[in-house]
Amino acid sequence: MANDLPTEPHDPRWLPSRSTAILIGIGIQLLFVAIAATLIVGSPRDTGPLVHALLIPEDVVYSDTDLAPKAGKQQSPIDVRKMAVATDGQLEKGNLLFAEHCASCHGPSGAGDGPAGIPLQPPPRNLTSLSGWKQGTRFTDLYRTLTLGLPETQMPPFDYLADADRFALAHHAAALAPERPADTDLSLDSLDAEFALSAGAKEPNIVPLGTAMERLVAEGAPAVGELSSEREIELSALEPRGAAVYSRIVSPDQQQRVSRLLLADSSWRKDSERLQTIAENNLSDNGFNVRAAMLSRADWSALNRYLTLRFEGE
Amino acid sequence: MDLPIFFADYFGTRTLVGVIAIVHVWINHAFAVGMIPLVVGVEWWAHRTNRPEWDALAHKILGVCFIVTTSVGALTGVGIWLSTALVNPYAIGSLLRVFYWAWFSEWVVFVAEVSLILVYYLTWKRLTGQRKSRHIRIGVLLGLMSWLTMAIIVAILGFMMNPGSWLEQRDLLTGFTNPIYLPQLLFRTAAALTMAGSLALALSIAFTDRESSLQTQAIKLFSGWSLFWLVPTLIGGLAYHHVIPQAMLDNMPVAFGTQAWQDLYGKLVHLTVLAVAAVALFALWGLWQPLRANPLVWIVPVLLLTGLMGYFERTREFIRKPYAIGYYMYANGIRVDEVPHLVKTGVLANCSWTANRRVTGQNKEGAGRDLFMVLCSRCHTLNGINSVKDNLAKMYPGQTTWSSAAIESFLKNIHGARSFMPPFIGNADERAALAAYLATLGNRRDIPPPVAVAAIDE
Repeated sequence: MANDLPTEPHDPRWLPSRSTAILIGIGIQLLFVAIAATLIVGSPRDTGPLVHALLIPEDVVYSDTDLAPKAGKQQSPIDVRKMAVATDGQLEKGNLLFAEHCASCHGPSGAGDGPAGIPLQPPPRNLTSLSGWKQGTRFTDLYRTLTLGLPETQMPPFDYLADADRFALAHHAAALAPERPADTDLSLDSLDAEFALSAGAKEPNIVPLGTAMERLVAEGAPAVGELSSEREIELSALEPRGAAVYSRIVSPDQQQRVSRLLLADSSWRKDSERLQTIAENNLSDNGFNVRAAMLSRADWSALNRYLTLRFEGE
Repeated sequence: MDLPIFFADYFGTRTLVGVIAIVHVWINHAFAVGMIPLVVGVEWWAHRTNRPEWDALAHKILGVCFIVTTSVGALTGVGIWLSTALVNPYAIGSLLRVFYWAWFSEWVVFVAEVSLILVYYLTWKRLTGQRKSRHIRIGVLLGLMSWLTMAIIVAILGFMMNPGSWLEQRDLLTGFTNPIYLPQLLFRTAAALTMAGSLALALSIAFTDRESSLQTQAIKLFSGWSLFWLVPTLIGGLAYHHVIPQAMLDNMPVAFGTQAWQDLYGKLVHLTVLAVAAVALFALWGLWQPLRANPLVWIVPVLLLTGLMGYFERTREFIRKPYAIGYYMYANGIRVDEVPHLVKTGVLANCSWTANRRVTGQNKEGAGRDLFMVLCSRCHTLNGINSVKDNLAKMYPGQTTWSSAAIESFLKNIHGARSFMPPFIGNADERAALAAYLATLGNRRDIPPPVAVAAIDE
């Protein structure tokens, strides 16, 4: 093999000795350690949520004016005291419904070991044991959880099931751990009142209290934060992105409410995150419409610059 | 929304991208980025200490790298952009606009790299004697270019995981210097050098006579090289792990084990640690007892490192879900800031290529199928790998008919239940239509057309 190559005299130039080579090696490794340490110390882990933007709740009305007052629904009449007594028919029905709707997460025996429940945090409740329940363990509590879901968990509201189906499911779940505290007349009556279950009940129509109060206040309040049209144009030229965001999330007839909200609390002026907090608190009922939930961080900074200009001197 | 949808059932579009990309990474790291410095180093050392047999060995190893990188390496490199542009044109479109000049530079560097490897390999036997130093300098330049191609692309990979302050600043420099960039580059640089060491060892077994002193020394040298670079690889890996956003770490069990084996996460982590330890043990063994093993065992660390690197890529690709570009674009190509518009106006109304433009009483299932193609088919197949049908069957075990109301209720909270899934995007009618379509999959097999492009209506 050596004959294939032209030979040349040994090159006398620098060649590291064994110890120099080892030192260079250690140097390279230390360099990596130093860079890695700098990076670890210098860049803290991003601990924010994965999906930053608020997810649009399903019943949001895309109204630029106000949250629509909620019309009360007519409920089919239900006698809670009768429903609270388990019958064979209900248990049988509950068993079937459980297999269909609950077993995937809670497991076929209700032990919280269903295949779809494995990744959930917190894990699905083990229904066969009574320890650790946060919303109460009575039959009425089961019905309430089935109807409303559990906030901050993956337990959804099963309100798309008929009332009778939810009662049947609650009976099935209650039977999985029979030693639970019994319901009293009081707890049954308050469930009845809470969900307007008894015959002839109708949910009242609702006007959001915040809306009602603000409207009363606004009627007598002097106008604030109003600008001449020349100044409006000037501001849009100074901060076009902010102006665009403002017109997107505050409709003309809501400007007074937003102005009052922002003038009442000036903490947002140097802090766009604070501005976001103020706007997202009670969103769509505070004058900002729901599109505010979808703004990027850059949008909030631009909006903050724009509003700071807009409310200069006020 | 504006482009037709490429759909590959059974195999899945994400598998297409994944296979091409992972093969490319293996070749890029082991045969180019890591190997060129090793070959140049051996050439330099052989030249200085006058060891022509080492020079010849380095040349043969380079020959393999030359053929592999300029054929499979170059093809898969182009294949990545072809396949990703086909599968998720919106994500690639956004990346191209942000990284325009980076990609431009990448192309220049790539052409320089290919030219230099041609020159370096083909002039090996001509630039000898007094001109050997010039040849070595070409090698150094080639090594630098190989590393640069990786250094540019790693910025884009990091950007897709967490764009950092680019979300506010929106310029190339902030996008390039995203929080993931340098830690990942550190890791990949060292990992490439480690992989090259084990590969060079396996190749030198093939190119040297059994139990010759050259073979013994080669095993020792390359084992030492792998062991040396394994340490910075682990340090770089630590730095990389440190900058992964917390919420993405929560995806690790599924990324490691898929939904089927996610509860084995702890065991899989142990297995990974064992594999790394095995690589280190092999290297130690080669260093102290180079001839005590059947030469064929030296393929084991190559396979281990190849497997680990492939697993690293799969995990990296998975944990950034539900995003294709972190916090900016969901995996199905829908930008986060488009969502309110799409929820308000409906997804189908904004699609140019679907048969149905809105949900009516008659077209519920057809519209649902269109929605599946638009919203789900980037990751899910109907009948194959990660099929939506299998996933639903796991959620409703033993049931032959699925309730569309139950599926719809799951869709409402899909991101909450599976943090790696994007939220459902679309209006309430569309959600019901998708649920109705998915419910029909319970009792039949849907064979999609070869390319799911429906005619433009009207």
